[in-house]
Amino acid sequence: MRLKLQTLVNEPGCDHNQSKTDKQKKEACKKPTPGATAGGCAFDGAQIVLLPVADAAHLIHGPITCCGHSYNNRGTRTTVGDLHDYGFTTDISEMDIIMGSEKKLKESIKYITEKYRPKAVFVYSTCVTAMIGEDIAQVCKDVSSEVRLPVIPVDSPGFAGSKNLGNKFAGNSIVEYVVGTKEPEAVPENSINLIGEYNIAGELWQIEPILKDLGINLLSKMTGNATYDELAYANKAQVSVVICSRALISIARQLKDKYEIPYLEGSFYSMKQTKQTLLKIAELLKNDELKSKIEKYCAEKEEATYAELEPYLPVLKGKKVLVYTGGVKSWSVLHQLEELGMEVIKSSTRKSTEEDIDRILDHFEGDQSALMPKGDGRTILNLIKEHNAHLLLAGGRNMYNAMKEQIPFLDVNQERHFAFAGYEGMVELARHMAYTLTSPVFDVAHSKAPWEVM
Amino acid sequence: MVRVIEKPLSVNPLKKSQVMGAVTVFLGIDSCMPLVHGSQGCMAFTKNFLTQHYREVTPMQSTAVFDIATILGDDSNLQDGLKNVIDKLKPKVIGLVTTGMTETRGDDIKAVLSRFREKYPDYADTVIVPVSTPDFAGDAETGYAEAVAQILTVAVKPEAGKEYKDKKCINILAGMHLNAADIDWLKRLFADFGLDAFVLPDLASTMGGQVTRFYSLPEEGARLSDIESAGCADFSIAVGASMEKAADVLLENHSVPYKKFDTLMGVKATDELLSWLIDYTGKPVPEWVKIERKRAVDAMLDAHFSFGGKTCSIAGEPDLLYGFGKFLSEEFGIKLECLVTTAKTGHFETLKADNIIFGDLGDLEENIGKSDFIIANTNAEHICKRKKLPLYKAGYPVKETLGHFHRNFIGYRGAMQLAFDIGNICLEKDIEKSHKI
Ligand code: SF4
Repeated sequence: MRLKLQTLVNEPGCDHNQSKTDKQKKEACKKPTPGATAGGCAFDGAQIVLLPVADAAHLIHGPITCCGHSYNNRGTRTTVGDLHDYGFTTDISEMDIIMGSEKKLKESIKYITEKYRPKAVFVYSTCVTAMIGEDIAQVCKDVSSEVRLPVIPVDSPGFAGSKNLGNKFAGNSIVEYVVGTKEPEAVPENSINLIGEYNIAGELWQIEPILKDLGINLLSKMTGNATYDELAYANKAQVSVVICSRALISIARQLKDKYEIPYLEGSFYSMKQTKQTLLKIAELLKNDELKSKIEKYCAEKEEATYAELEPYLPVLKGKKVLVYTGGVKSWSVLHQLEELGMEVIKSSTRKSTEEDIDRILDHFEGDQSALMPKGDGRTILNLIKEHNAHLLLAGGRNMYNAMKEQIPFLDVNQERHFAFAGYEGMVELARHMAYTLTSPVFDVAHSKAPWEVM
Repeated sequence: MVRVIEKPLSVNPLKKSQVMGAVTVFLGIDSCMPLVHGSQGCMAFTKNFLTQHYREVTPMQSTAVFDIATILGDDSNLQDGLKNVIDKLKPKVIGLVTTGMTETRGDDIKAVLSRFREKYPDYADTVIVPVSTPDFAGDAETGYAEAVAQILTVAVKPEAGKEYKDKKCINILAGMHLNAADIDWLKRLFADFGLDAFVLPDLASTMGGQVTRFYSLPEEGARLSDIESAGCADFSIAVGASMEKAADVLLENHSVPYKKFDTLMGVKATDELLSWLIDYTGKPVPEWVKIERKRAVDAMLDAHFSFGGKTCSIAGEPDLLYGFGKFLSEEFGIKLECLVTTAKTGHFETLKADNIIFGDLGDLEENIGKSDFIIANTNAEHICKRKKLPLYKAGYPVKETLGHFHRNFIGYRGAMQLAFDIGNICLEKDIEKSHKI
């Protein structure tokens, strides 16, 4: 079990380990600091990737914290089922730890398959069940033949590492156990896999129409609004497009190695990147006709979008923004803000890979001081004050910090209710930034109480 | 009779872990850092959960136990975690909470703690409260109760607070089911009876939204100095059956007598509290209290036309469940169909319900019968959507809802509020029904 984890950490797709010396590798993957760590565990990361598959059941093998504190908590939207809303857990007790809980796990899987009729069951191992040495892969295999359904083990004990690593564990389970097990009804021309888009707040539904307009077929979505079956025939796509999740590049890499599907990394945040990504897709599809179609399409869309943006641009122009978000978004959102005429004073490099950082630096023309390393709420707030920033773009965790200091804020991570991708998303983003920047609430908040002015 | 539905797994858990309960207690203490001993995920999930519930910053940390350390079981993470938290944040108190993972590994945190004390004598000023909260046993309420009891065991100093007092001091041990508005109500009531009340934990002050600046440790909650002198109080009040354990600590170690209120929901339960206050202080009842009682009764009379013939199902931790169940059935006359709870503690067995189940929201869904509405946490929203029933949110977590923590459930005020809220749900049902052909 531990051996296997080690190979996963070392595999070439790992952001941290690619093209580094042994010493650097150790550095980059170093352990979190006790008493000064934020962020979720590997199990959390695995669940983020797989949970959007809503016609499959997700069974968490462990005591109550793992599932009890996390279910019904994703902003992912879907139309293929509702099993992602369910929290299934073996909820193991002290007795189970002493006596072993493989039998319980088996029965749980059977219970779920009989009662909820899923297309498949994903079974996650967590810290305690991994520690007591439960062989979930074997259990899954046994039950799978009994219930005649795919039962997929996901090796994801939290102690193995960060969320990013967990993303990769999930990707690994998809490639190892799911991809290549089904045949699609048809594979239309220009079929792609979209990897790393979880349909948070319905963002996929802003990207899908663009692809449809251009005649690009989304064969397999990994995993926003995905059915289990479409993961199973992802090997039939012509191109893989990885967006906004570096940790899932490993899926694309494995699909390339195994099935010779070329891949590209792209983003649908900002008009410029949307266009670039589309052009890259056309290129890998070797479709020149598509290319010229894209040029024309994007020009029209951009014009229409600017027309829609008109009421908000005066409010946004010249406003200073601090961006504190993870990974890919730390650079992709910069383009969006730039197109809206805003000035980014710093962007965080938290959870960013070296390529991410290069892209941020590109944007700031190499100015290192624009990079913001990991910092706590206090650091962020101090920077905002120091630079007289008008707005903080960050994840929900920092929302209440910003509100404590009465600073306009927009949530750009998991729990938000608004989608910011593609052309529609640009307008949505502009609108919501304008709302918070002009909200009269801040006047009230900044006003002194009568007894403070007297 | 409490039933356990035989099934191998939990479907849509109602239960939260002891970790969550214990961390919640520490969030209600001034300058206290909850430190979760385990992998980072347990803390991250708990933080996310409580942040959404309170809509506030919820400071907490993890010892970030990692792969190798997990297998070898050394205690460096715990030692380093304590050291780093003290160096960086200088809390007055650290609430050290274990997880299923470190308990499975067999960590003896008390032993580690004494090694830490030996190694770092300079850090002796920081009070460290170890609480054993494996998530493979108990529930959030038992974790909460355990944490309060442990604080009182570890931090109370027999000699503190013996100086001259012009008022009688009362410890109010506040159960997990109380909201900020409930705690505020208790404070005002006790103050107006001329008592000096100390609330432990005081989540109203820390998580109620009154702190208007950034903080990396809880501010304005129960203060350490007050905890230290809790042994010199004249009396303790335990609110919720789960708080009895903590009251016992003060009784046994410091001879502080106590009275326990299994619930303070409803007019009858509140009357009991008022009777005690009148007896204990000999003081007249404040005018506002008298008015609130009249208003509560008036609201209940106005609402009762819609209560008749209604049925409801409730899911929650034992204390919350008992309070709601008793009040709704005995004072509103609403029939209880199915009650689901998370631990076999508490008094809910005495409630008159068709089904009392020790289980999860999956059990609730199956045994809902002909309920007209449901009282449960936000996670029951999908059940209510499927069954087309109204959900009155209570318990943990209540998310995607503003202001929950400031809803008042106890006292006369709470009785009035619930008569309105539940009354409106029932009224709407009646109107809806009258439109059906
Ligand atoms: S750290 Fe381990 S026990 Fe905690 S939530 Fe993650 S998998 Fe579960």
